[in-house]
This record gives sequence, structure tokens and C-alpha cells, in this order.
Amino acid sequence: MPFRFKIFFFVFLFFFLIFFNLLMGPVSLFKDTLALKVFFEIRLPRVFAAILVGIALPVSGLSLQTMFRNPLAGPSVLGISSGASLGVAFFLLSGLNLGFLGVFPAAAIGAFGVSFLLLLFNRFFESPVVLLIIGLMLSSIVNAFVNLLMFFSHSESLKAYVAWGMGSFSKLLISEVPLFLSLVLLGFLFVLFSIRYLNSIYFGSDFVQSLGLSNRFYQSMVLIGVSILTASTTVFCGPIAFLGLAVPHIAYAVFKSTNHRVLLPASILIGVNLSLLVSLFPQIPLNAVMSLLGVPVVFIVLFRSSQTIR
Amino acid sequence: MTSVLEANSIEIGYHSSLVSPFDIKLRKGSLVALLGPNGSGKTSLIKTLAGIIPPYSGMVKFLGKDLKDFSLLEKSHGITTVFMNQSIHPQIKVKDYVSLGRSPYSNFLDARRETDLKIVNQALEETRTLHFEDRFLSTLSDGERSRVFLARALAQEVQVLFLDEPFAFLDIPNTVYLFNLLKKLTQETGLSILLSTHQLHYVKDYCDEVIAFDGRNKVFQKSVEDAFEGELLAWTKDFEAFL
Repeated sequence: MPFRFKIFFFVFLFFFLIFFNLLMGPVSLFKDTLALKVFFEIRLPRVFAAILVGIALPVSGLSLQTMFRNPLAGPSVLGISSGASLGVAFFLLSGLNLGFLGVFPAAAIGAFGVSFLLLLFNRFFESPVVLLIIGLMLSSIVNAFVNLLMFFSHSESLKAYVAWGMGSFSKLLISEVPLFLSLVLLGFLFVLFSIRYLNSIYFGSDFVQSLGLSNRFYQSMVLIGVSILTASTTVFCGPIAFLGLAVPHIAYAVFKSTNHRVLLPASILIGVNLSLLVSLFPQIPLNAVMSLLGVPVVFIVLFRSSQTIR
Repeated sequence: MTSVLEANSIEIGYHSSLVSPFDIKLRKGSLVALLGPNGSGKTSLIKTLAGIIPPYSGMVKFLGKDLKDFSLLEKSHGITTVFMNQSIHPQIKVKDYVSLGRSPYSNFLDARRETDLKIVNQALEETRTLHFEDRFLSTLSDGERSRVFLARALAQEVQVLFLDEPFAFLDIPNTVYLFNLLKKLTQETGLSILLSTHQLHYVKDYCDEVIAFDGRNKVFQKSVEDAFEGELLAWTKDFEAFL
């Protein structure tokens, strides 16, 4: 398939899926008196949530996979989502209600804390597998803290936390859309600014320096970007697994490029389509579908790269 | 001949100095070999001269100006280093890899202009890698790969090029081919090349000068003729018997 046709296909699919997301559902938009309310308060925010998550997580996953030179990296596997969850849990479970202004910074700090620790550990252990184990350990520690918080919290806030923890596109309010949108844009800008770094880091940090780029500066740029993206999705839609890990591989398989000028937009195109497809069925638990879609991708990657992952 | 890169009484090393202070001059268009036993500090010297790590003491001057006054980007327009043992992306194509050499001249979105593509093409031609520009880097032989690494550095259009052990994995024909190519580049384009190697007999034939670690704590710079006389390369006596 020629390049342009692929892009055209995914753009077309994108609008097609938006249309069906807005149209489909138990309430008919044409006969019902509730139509307007349903459209603006349920379906439109859900579409926005799906699109923004479909941008944020694949972009995070792609930049993490490249930066850590690890095809199995992703915001949820590495525990960055868990870090954000801790921030959210702290507010949901303690009953402190500072609104978004309290929750988002807490989630962002949690996400950045975990990514910073990952970077630190990555200097000592070169192996990609060790990095994954460290990610697993970090999320275990974070979950232990969350469990402690749960133990000491009221049943009311516990319920809210558990419901949030399932992950869903349907909890975003229309009034929150502008904020979510600007955070995703901001995080994306950090990653976009690091394209040159992402294109060269695969060949090592000395290579990056030979090309006149500062490792430390761009590492921070990518980590800040990923933290903003992961934290904002986690706050508004709950922890969502596998989307960040799986989509970059599909993007590579479809567009056959190693250049992030291609891979970034490609991951976004495929990410939004995938999450819009899943959001067509809001009744089904989001993370169940994501796992069913994501796990096979991980297995394919494992088998295909059995020579490169040691 | 004018010197492009100069080091005045520098010491190298991260936490302690590896050798006593020494001077180095890299002349325009010269091919210089860096010799020394394993672990003597050849890679550290290369990284120091390339501005990747700062000297332990002393100063490195590039075009008469202190190297640390150059920004990373300015440095990358004049100096680059090829590490032969670098990790590679299994699915990158040769031409995409070489095109990374134009990264220092691109905008933040890493776009390539017409002229960039022309320069990349020229670098591929010069290293005779153009005919497999669409192959994956991971499928190349060591000889082919070393030329592709070199092509990336050529695309970067620098005045000083450092090569860390470029012949480490190469057989005799590939070594000869690469030495001829490097010699031609220095003579025709005025590029200055410093390469670390253990291939003494090729150094005699191809290089203009030698910078050598004596294996104790001194570094010398001599012409090739002088270097192979006397005690400078005393540490090689042990293994010269094997050559």
C-alpha cells in the first residue's frame, strides 16, 4: 500500500469512527427529548476522552520504547501509570477535595517520580529485561502504598477509587475537555521538541552527543512530556493498560519507518482509531478490551525480537 | 600546515589523571594513528578531544578557540566521533542511518532539505555504500557496517573526525580498503582524522603521524618515521613477534 493511501485510510476511519461514536447508543439522537443532553454530556465528552487518550498513551509508549531502547516499554508496564495513580489515590482516598488543581499535580509528580527512578536505574543496568523488572517492582511499591491508603479510608471514597481504577472513557465531563486537551497538547509538545533526540538515541548517548544534542536536556524533556501525558490520562480516565505499549508496534508494522517524524503521527493515527473503536462499546470494561488487544501484540514482539531482547 | 585541533598540557581521565600532562596537535588534512595498550586511555583521549568529556586539566583548542566555549551544536558542525561498538536499531535502513548525520543542520523537527539529501547521497557514494542504501543496518557485514558508520560522519561535514577502533572487526581486504578511503579523504577534502588502532603495520604505510601511549604514563606525538624507531613503542615489542 502506498504511503498516502495508508494515511488517507486511517484519517477516513477516524472520522467514520467519530461519527458512529456520536450516533450509536441506546438513545436515538433524532426522536428522543433527551437527545441534546445525551449528545453534549455523554457522547461528545466520551469521543474527546477516547481521542485524547489515543494520542497521549501511544506517544508516551513510543518515546519510552525509544528512549529506554526497549520494545516492551510503556507507561503502564514501567509503572509510570501507577505513579500517577498514587497521586490520584492520595486525594480520592484521603477525602481531601482540592478538585483538579490538587489531583493533577499529585499525579504528575507521581508519574515523574517513577520515570526519574527508572532513568536512574537504567544507568546501572543495561539489560532491557532488568528495566521491566524494576518497573514491575516500582509499581508494586506504589500499589502497596495505595493499598495502605485504601485500608485507612472510608467506604464511600473507596467506592469512588475502585470505580475510577477500572478505567473508562465515560467519566470525562464536557467542562473538563479544554483542560485535558491543553495538557495533552503540552505533553505532546515536549515530545515533539525531542524528535532529533529520539531519532538518534537508539545508537547510544555518545552518538547523540556527536550529533550535537544534550542527553540530559532531552531526557528531561521526554520524561516531563511523558509524565504530563500519562498523568492527565490517568486523572481523567483512570489507569489504562497496553494502549501505550501496543500502538507503536502497530505503527511501525504499518508505516515501516524508524524515523519519529513518521512514527509519532503514525502512532497517534492508529492510537485514536483504536481507542475510538473500543469506545463504541462503553458497556465493556475498558481495561479488559485493552488487555485482550495488547497482550497478543506483546507476544508477537517477543517472538519477533527474540534475538534483540536479552 | 595549520593545526585544527590542539591540546595544551592536558591530562585525561574521569576521577584521576591517567597520564602526565602532554601536548597534541592535529594538522589539517592529516591521518593520525592513536596507539597504546588496552586500557591505557585511548578512548578517553578521543572523548576528551571530541569534547564529550572535559579534560582532567588543561585545555583543548579547536580552530584556536577553547573547546568548552563551543556549544554542543557548534561542536557537532566541526567534530564528530564514530564508535564502532555502538548499539544499532535492528530495523533502520542504511540511508536513514546516514541521514542522521544531517541532524545537526536540521530544525527541531529533524526535517531534511534538498541539499541534505544530496550530501547524504554523496557520503554514501564516497564510502561505496550507495548500492545497499535500502538494506537494514543489522543485515550488513562488519566491513559494510564500518563504511556506513563512516558515511554518517562524512554526511556531518566536519573538519575533525575521530574513529574509535575502526578496524577492530575487519578482515585484511576491508582494512586495506578503509585505510585507502581514509587516506584519500584526508588528502582530498582536508579532513583531519585521528583513529585508534592496533594495526601497526598499516599505520606505517598509511598514517602521517602517531600519537602513542607508552603504557606507563606518558603520551607522545611523533611522525610515523620517528615513532617506529627507538623506545617509543617499546610496549609493542612483546607482541610484534606475533605479527
